[in-house]
Amino acid sequence: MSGGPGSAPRVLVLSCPDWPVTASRQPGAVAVVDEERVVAASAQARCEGVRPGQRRRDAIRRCGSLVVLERRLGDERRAFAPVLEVLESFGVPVAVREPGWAAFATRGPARRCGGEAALAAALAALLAELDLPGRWWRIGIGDGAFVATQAAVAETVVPRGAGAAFLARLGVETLARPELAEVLRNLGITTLGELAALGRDEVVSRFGADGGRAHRLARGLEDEPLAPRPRALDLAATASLDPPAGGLDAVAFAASALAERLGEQLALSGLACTRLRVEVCTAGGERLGWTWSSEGHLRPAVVAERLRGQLESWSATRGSTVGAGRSDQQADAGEAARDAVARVTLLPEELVADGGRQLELWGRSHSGDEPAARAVARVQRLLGASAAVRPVLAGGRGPGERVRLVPVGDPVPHEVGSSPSPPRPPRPGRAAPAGSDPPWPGRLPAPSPAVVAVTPWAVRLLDAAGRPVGVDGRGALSSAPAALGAAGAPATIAVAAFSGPWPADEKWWEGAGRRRRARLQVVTADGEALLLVLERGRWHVEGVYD
Amino acid sequence: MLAALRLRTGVSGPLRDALLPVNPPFADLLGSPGLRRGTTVVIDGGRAPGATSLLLGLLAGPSGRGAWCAVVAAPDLGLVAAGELGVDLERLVLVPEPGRRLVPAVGALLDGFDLVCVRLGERISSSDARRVVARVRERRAVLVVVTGRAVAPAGSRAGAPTGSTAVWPEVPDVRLEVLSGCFTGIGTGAGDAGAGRITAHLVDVAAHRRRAVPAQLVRRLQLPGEEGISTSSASGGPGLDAPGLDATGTS
Repeated sequence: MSGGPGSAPRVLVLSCPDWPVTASRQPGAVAVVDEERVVAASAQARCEGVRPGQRRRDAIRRCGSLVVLERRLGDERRAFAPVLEVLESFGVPVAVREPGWAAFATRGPARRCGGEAALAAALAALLAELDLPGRWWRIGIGDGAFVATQAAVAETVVPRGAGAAFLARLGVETLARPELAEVLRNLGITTLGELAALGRDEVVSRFGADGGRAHRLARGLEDEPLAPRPRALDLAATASLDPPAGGLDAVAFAASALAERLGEQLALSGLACTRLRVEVCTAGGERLGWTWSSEGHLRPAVVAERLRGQLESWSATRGSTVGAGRSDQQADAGEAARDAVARVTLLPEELVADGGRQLELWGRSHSGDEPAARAVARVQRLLGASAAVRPVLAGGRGPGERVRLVPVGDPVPHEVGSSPSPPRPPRPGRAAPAGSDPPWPGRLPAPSPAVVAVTPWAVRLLDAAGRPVGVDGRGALSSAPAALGAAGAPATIAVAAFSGPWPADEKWWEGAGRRRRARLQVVTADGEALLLVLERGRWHVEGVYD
Repeated sequence: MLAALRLRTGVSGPLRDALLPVNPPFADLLGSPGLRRGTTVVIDGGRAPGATSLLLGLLAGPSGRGAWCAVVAAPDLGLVAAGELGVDLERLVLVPEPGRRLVPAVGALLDGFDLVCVRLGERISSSDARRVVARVRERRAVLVVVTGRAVAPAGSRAGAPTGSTAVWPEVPDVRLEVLSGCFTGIGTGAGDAGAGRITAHLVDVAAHRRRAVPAQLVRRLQLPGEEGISTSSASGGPGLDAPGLDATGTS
């Protein structure tokens, strides 16, 4: 029960409380907020009563001189890079959970430094040389990352096997599981020692697997091994083009395939790339390179598109320098051959744990989002980015009447949600074929058809005498519909009931012409209800009430 | 006490529970407050229309409580209708045209989604179906397969809807079958020709349940309405032979 030496490796944790503030380099009373809540506060702000978790308003009320900054994860990561370099100078893989928290196994470094305490002192000396304000770091060493993290709070070295004893008097809040902590407190269990004293089976049966993990942590047994950050260089991806590609399309295609491969590799290691360097080598031996940063995922299609743009502007500048010799066709051809791309290399320069990035894919964070986002990413790799879409309600002729499909991961277009008049025309090339509404008829009140034809199909609507049914200028049916048949086929089915027509005059966009159409609901003899639309004398099935 | 504890800890919050809670009419129809994780549901629309609305109504419960739902191979899904039936579109991802990669796409989605729905347009081999079902069980997701009458993809048909013959080769845990239905509000007789509009779709649905007693439940549901799906007030008896309700709605 005493925790025992277990198998947890000795770990050093470098923890930087309020790293977002440190990274901002802003002096004075500073608070960093994320979604209107304080996530970090400077020492001076804390003196005035500002605390993480407070609402922005409350924080400002407590501290009049408070400088409030929005959280910028990208800046936090960039500022953390020199810190990581210091840690990596000890020659072992470094694990990073978030900017402001890093760890490595002490085995080798401690031996070289002459003990764990000496290692901590050596690290502190190096960190003090970094150009960052104040005493911003804390170092702790213990069995496994959890004990070491708590040791860092106390800035101490917890001896081997003493993890459970060290943790025993800490509160259950340190487990970073707020709901569990609340329940435990209600049950009278306030410290990790009390939690550790419970039987494992008892805890698991009450609190599930996650409770079991918490129990392990409380007993000083680590269950999450450190996931070291792979060296970015190991992940470089190169494609040689043979013969060298002159066309931009071919190069973009190669880059896209390469980015896809890289993405898969990163996903396997649970990483995402936030800074990517792309290098291109021409047949003539010229090297070109660009570095791109991204807050979100660098998707293959995006990488390919950007590379294409860069190459385009590059060859444009080349074109101007060789302009003098343009009359010489042969020289031109030689130029083109030399400028053909022989090799494309992608170098991920900055890698982060995947979690944060994937959540951004969805624009907000929920606990269940991450697996879903990952699953979608896999489908997009399988079928292409535009194969997985999410519906976004768009402004139109009324709330909820128009829906746009946006590839998952793409930003939601800005006009969405606003309701401009006149309504926007349907986007060319997307969903709606020419001459039809966006694929969801929005004119009729609910219920709307559960099936909306991607391409409305033509039908014949006939009256009892077998004549085609039309709609006159006043919006009335020429005669009562009695039968419905496929266009170009003799067979028909009887119309059992109908409602309408509802005329719809649509002035889509200025001057492009008025469209006169009418809609009709029809129930056929076999019980199917259809939404028909008449345009230019032809009926089409637009939706099915399925 | 224990149940209350569970709810409050979040350790086994609603999303990780064994059941994905459905809305009351469906709870009534399924004879259970939710869909059990790891199971397969088939919605069979072969006999009468309504399968797509049933699917959307079924999704409304879980998606409204934060479950992620994916719908595969249904490019013509009416999303306005989905919203009307209570589906949280923020929790919905569509893979409209997976083509020949339907099975791998479904497999990938099962890894991260709580509910994965497939409209079966083409025949699926039993070995593929078995693999998918095993994945459903392993990933503790729920698979909903819509078969029957589904409207074929664009362009492949010349005329009025034709029934699709694709069937799900595995025995599902629950099979919802639309037995019959009628549309209300639409003008029928000579006097009111063209009057009104479709206000609701009443369907009799049978739930065939595997390993449950009784093995079959029949309920009358009111499909789309302004308030989503409800159990029709007329749902007294089995409804199958209720007078005034036939497949055409022209009684």
